[in-house]
Amino acid sequence: MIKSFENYTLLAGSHGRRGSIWRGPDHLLVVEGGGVLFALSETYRRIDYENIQALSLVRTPRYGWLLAAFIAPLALMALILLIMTLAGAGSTEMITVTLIFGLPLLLVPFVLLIVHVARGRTVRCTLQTAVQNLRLRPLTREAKAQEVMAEITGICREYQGGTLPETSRLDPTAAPPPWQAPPPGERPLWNGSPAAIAAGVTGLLWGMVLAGELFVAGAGYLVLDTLLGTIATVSAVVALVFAMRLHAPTALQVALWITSGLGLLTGFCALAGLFMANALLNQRSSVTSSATDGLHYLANLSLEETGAFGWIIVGLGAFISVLGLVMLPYGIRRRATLADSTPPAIAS
Amino acid sequence: MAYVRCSSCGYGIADALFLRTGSGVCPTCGKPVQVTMLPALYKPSHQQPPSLPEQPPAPGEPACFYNPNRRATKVCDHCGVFVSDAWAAKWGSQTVCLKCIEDLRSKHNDTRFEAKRTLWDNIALLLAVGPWVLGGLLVATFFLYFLGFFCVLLTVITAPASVFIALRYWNAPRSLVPRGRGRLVLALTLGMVQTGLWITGILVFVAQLNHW
Repeated sequence: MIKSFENYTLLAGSHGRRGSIWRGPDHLLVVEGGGVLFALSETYRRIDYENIQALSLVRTPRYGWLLAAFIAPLALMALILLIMTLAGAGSTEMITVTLIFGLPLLLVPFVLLIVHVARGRTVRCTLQTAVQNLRLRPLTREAKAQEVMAEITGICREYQGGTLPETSRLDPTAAPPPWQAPPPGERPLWNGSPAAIAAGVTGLLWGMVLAGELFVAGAGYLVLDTLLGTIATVSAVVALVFAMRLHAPTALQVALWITSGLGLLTGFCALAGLFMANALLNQRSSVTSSATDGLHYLANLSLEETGAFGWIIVGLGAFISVLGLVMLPYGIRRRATLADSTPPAIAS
Repeated sequence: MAYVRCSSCGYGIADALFLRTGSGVCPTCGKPVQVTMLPALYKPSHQQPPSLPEQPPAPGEPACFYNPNRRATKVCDHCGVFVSDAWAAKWGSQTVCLKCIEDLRSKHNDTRFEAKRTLWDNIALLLAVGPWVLGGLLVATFFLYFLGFFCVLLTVITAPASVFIALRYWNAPRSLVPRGRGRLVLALTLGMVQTGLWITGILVFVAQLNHW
């Protein structure tokens, strides 16, 4: 990518969807890309240096998530090799497995992990003016963000002159800024919800029960599985409705969408399975089977009988448990700690 | 007292928290925030409208080109006419009359007015490679591999579309940040190769059908 054009100099970013930030003669040019896979359109924002009020930076949990995502395949590969060693596999098998799975589970994640750690902590950086709080998307890593922020600060101080007050008195009786309360049509902040806690807890339990479905026989276990699944799905849908009415974290929304979708899909698949079980039983015997017979058949299915499909159910259960763990922390309400802070809108 | 918005949740935090150390904890989301405050934070945000001279220009004084009843106070940096405050606007570091502003926007298509552009080169490239990327991801999931095959079938539509868009918007402005036609060339090449393969495949298929 070019480093300068006309009277603009590149500060950060590229042609991708994150966009770029350019230093202009008397304003900052922020280019934002929008689209899927590639930036299909670009939006241009020009902010005069004399209007920039503040630059803020906060660390994001994305660093930890990416770290876990890159370490997981390495751990999985280590686990596979360990199991093979304990099972007495020969060196030929070990080498074959390493060569087959080495690229996706060893080399690529290892390189990505090194690059990720070298680039440093992930951050979210915003630029504040009187009328907007603009997120600077190209600034995703702490080192680069601080470097660019320092440069923008230096330019702004040249244009703005003046100094900051040395102290500022906290005035608890002062009215909050007019933009503190979300304007009509905008969503208030998410601050926990009992529905999200219920979705998290029941999702976690349902996932574990679902994973054990093919290991435990009996209609009672199937009924427990169905009950937990229904409660988890309904809780997730209710929590999703609240989350969409408020400004909820993306991770929570994604988890709620997936849990709701999987819950409904599992329900339909269970019904389909019941019909298929009845059809199979009818095929095997001359007597027409009832729904109860189909239920008992499904309840007593084992992993050996279902084969690969059974492992999919186990994996699905584990995945739903993880989603439940993700949703649980977001259900907890946070309290404001400053005396003069206006409590944010609370989800009922 | 001024307020700084938290980067994470957008909550307005009083400036007193940041004046000494430049960092503090947001009371709503609980995340540590680093803030650099600037003098503009303490500037009043409302601006006074330009003062309009109440008296018409005296004999010998310059009058506004567009409204002779007003005294001229500025000179347009583009066309050079004398204009009053009401007919002048700040355009970057220049003072420009409102007529020239309109000309810059409508006739000369000044890029400084542009707020958005469609990137046709990226759209063409997405149509050329998108189905293959999506198909590859679906095949990698193992149990959705049949959808990957469906994605490859989509190229019968996306490949010619990619060629059309690359040719149709060959001379269209690309990003505001200058870049070459590499993406268009790549999209055109990939699109033509895929289209050629489809045409060849269909012709072979029809020939086989006739043979049978």
